[in-house]
Amino acid sequence: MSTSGSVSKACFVFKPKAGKRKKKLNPADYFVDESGARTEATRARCETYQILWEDMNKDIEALQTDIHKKVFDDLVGYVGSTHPGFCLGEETQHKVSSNEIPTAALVTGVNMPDHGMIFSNLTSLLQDNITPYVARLQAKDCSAMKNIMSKVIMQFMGNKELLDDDDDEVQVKRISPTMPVLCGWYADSVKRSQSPNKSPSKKRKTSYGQYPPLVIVMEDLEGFPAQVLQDFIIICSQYLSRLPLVLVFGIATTVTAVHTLLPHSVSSLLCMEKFQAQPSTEYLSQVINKTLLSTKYPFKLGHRVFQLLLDIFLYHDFSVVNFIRGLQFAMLEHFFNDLGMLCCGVKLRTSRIRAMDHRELEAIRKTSSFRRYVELQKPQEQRDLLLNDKLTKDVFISLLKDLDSYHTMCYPILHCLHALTCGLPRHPLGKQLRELYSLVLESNVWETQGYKDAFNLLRLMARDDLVSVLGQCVEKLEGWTESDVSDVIMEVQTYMAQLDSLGDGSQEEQEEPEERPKERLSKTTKLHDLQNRLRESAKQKKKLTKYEVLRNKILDYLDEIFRTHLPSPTTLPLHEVYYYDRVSTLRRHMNAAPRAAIQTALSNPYYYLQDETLKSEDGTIPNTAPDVCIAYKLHLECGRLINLYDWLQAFVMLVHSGEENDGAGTSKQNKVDEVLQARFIRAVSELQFLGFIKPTKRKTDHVARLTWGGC
Amino acid sequence: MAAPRANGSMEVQFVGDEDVAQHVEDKRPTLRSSSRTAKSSSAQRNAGVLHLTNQDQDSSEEEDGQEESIQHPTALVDQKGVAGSEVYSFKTPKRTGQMTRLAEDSLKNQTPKPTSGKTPVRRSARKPARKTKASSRASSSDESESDDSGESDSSAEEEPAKPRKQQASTTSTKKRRGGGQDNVLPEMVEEYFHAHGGARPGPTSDRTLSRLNIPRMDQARLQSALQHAPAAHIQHLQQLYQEHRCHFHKWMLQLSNGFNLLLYGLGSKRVLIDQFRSTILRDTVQMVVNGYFPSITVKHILNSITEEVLEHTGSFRSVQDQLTFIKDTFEETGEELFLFIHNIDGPMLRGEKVQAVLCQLAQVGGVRIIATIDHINAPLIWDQNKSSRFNWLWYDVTSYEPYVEETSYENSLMVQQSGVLALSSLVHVLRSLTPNARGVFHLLALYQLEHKDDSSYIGMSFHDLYQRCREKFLVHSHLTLRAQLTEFKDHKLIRTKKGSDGVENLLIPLDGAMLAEYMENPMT
Repeated sequence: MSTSGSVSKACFVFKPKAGKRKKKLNPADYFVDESGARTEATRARCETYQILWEDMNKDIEALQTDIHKKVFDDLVGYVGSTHPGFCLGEETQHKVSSNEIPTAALVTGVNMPDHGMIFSNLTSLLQDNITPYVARLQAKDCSAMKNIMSKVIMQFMGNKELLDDDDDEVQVKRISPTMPVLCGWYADSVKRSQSPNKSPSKKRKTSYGQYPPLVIVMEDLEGFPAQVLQDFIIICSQYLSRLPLVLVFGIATTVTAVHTLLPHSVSSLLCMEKFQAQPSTEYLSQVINKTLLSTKYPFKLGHRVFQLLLDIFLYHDFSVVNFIRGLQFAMLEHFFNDLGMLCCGVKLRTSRIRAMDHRELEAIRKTSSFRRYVELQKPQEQRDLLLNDKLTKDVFISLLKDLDSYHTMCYPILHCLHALTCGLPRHPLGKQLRELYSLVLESNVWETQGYKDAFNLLRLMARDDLVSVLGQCVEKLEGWTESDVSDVIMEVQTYMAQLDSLGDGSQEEQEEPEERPKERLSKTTKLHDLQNRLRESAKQKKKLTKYEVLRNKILDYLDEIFRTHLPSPTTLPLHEVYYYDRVSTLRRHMNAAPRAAIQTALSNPYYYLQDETLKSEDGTIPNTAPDVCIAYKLHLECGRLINLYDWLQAFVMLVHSGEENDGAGTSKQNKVDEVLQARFIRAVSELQFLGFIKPTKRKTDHVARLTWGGC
Repeated sequence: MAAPRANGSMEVQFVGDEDVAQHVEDKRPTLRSSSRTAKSSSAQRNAGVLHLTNQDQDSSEEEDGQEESIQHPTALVDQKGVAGSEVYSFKTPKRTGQMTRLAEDSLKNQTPKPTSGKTPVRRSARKPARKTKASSRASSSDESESDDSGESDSSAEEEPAKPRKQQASTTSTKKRRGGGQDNVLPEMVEEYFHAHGGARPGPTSDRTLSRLNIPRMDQARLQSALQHAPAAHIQHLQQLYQEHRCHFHKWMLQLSNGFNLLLYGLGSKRVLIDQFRSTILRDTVQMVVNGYFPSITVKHILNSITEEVLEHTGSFRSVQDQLTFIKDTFEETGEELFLFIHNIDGPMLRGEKVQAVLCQLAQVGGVRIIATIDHINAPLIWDQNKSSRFNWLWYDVTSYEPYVEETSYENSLMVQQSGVLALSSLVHVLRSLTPNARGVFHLLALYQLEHKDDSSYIGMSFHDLYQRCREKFLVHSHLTLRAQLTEFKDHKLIRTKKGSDGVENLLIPLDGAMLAEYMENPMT
């Protein structure tokens, strides 16, 4: 199985001996415990994971089509209406006066990784509703006119609806990809579809019009070579009378990209309509709502992990696909650990707890939240909780039930709080629900400054505004079918009714007290008196109006609700069962810093090799360090160029001192020198391989540094 | 309520020049004061910007206003480990001899090894450099040389003693300030351009490798010498290796869930991957690609897959066709392939197009990729799109293993290129030429060998060569000789160079020893 040492070959294929081949990679085979064995427990965890992930994935996929439903519907409608009077008959050809190609510009946003899914959804939607003829083009396939044409024709003519047998497919490859060929084929296929009895094998859908349009989707318009695109559009416009072509541009930036790619003479051939896809942040919010803010899935993300995934999304790529992958990875990790065992539905969980043995119980007893819980109990109960397995099991069951009921109440109330505060100036609790959720995950939300600010602002709110946000709250709560929040709704609605009933009377009352000081003011003449009076009036507590009293009452009630239902999950016992919060694992594997790792390894080998001799202070180099580390440390002291000779000398000096033996003979000394030199050469070429230095011709026997500074 | 919200995001205020100047003056002292509100720090930065540009007050004010609305990522940055500011920081170029000084300092701090027994411990007191050198060198000439270099060093040190002190103090203060404050940025920019802009690349000494008493080694000698290199930290390396091995099951789990693995970290990862292949993946279809191989192309990789893995005979019109075929076949048969790419950042695989193909390969259903990277800037070869398609999970597998295999192809700086390949290609080309053409080359080579000790030899002039060729009846006109020479040039056997007098000179770009070897037995 050796793959090294070849000077002629770089790819090596290894196949198992016949008969020994494994059938299929099965994730379940690799769900093991620490000792590497598969047990009943690991099997159970694996199963739960797979079921959970499948469900979640299905939901997310369903969401994907939903989220773009509106824009897709518009687009499909537009494509369907583009060639109303199209007809292939000879006599009508002159009627097509304009040679503008109907074009839909779909602005998709910068989250390129998600686009593949968007376009495949769009394609299937078009094929279901409007036309069987959809060609998808990507910039990477279209470097020249010939590629673009053959790609288009292949996709149109290779369409399974039309191919009766395999012979056609072979022919498709042979014919030259030109527009006349396409025209002939289209006329032919239209004729064929008009006389359905001639092709008995087909039971084609009749939903297509008589002349289904030919849709060409260009997924990443910005990537297309401008010249090719221009030529293609010009050619297409010439054939509009014979082919009902429709273009769909996928644009990641802005519509102006079209104009930078195409000169006026070409863009004037396009009749463009713009369609704006939903921004990916919207999509993300929906995904979070569906997966994390739902009682359907027991698995949750802890604050730090959630924040990391959000940060990657917001600061790196805006890609929901990557977010979902992060979620999947977190889930996989969670179920790989013992605690994942209980992260499942109530019934299954209870039976699993019942079936647990002592060792498994101990693992859960060790969780920090449970220990905190135990410490709060009385001494007698503490002992029971730690020693009596049966009792512990009961406690587990009830605690986890508490967690469940916490979740059922938490999410609707969270939405309610969000509705209440998202409109406040400066957004003390965040503009988006996900920000608020992250706050809740982190700590008790009412202890945060933002919450206090928000309530201070709410206490100043005018009546109309208050009524409207309360209305929104109720709306959110009513939309929640999974949990019982009717009490809260009732209460809030009562308050709203009270607000309404305050009516105009309150306003009159409000005005009265304001007028009184005015009267007094007009009478006073002395400045000193005025000052005193103002001082007094400031001291006097202003009498609250009815509205203010009611407002305070409402807010106090809501505050109470939030305090009872929105504690941070980290304060609840056994939250580790549901919440995955190992952020460092996730960061290491999803958002790694390879350069930092290499430089740490070079500058501080102790970090990786826990050898005491490698510890060093004050920036000096331990001479026991690996050669490449010593060479690296030395090269940090240089400017842009490094003299190889000096480098070698310093290296030899340092390394040699480490292994010098006295009384060495000349020959042996020479030998040592040669070995040292060889080691130096190896270290230098490794640094070159890593990209720290490169050969230069500016000065003999010098190398150039490629990095600056560093540690 | 809409109005305050709109205002909240950004506040733009127009101010006059004097106000700005005052603002700058005012805020300056707060630089040193301990108050560190967000506002004052942004003001500091603005002060720096103004200092550089002296105008632009509008934009700086705008920055000031925006500062509050910009949020910074909180979870992205790892608090432990090396901070990015350290990895990407600048350092001022150092004087010569800095490297030796560090080595000396380090020597001083070494605890003397118990095994060294009677070696004078005082050695580490003051002049370790000179002494170790003296004891390690046998030949007197070398000793004098090293002495001499040491002297030149010390004289250079003594002469500008005073300014150096100053410099040292300033650099140290700079360092201190560089502890993490933002206002270092403009300074760093200046330093950067100072270091890179000048015509002189900074001070280095003029010593060359020719001073060494050991000639340059070739690859084979290097390898044999390295056999004698002592192994260190074996136990700890082993421990590290075992830690990585523990991940194998997890790797499999993640691979089977559709992730691909990317291994990074210092040290060759070949051993680990070979272990992974031979233990867990014993009965699977595997393909190993050496990305560091100097002549690998993406075509090779794809051909290996189609021909050897899928056992398909026949060619493809384009890479895209081949990819489609691979995709379809894998989806049809449901087969699985484990594709190991050592150094996916290798010099030949770095290109955008190659990576585009590879990431498409990663998306094929049954293909799982385990790749390694080593170059410090390796992640730059992927854009968002590609890295998302690869679907990497990153693993730090620092191993400190020497990159024996990986660097063996690299034209290392100090390794003597043996030139075996060059000679064989020369013979190969010459064999296919006419005897007359060979004669011409022979003449040229002879002439060059005659002048091999002449350091100012720039080649044989065209006229000379023509004369000699005519004497030997090798050519009969200028034109035929030109035709021969063009042939040589195309095969890079000779090089032409215009001399100072405008005469064309012809040179064989091989060194004397090799030419002599060729002349001894020209046709083997």
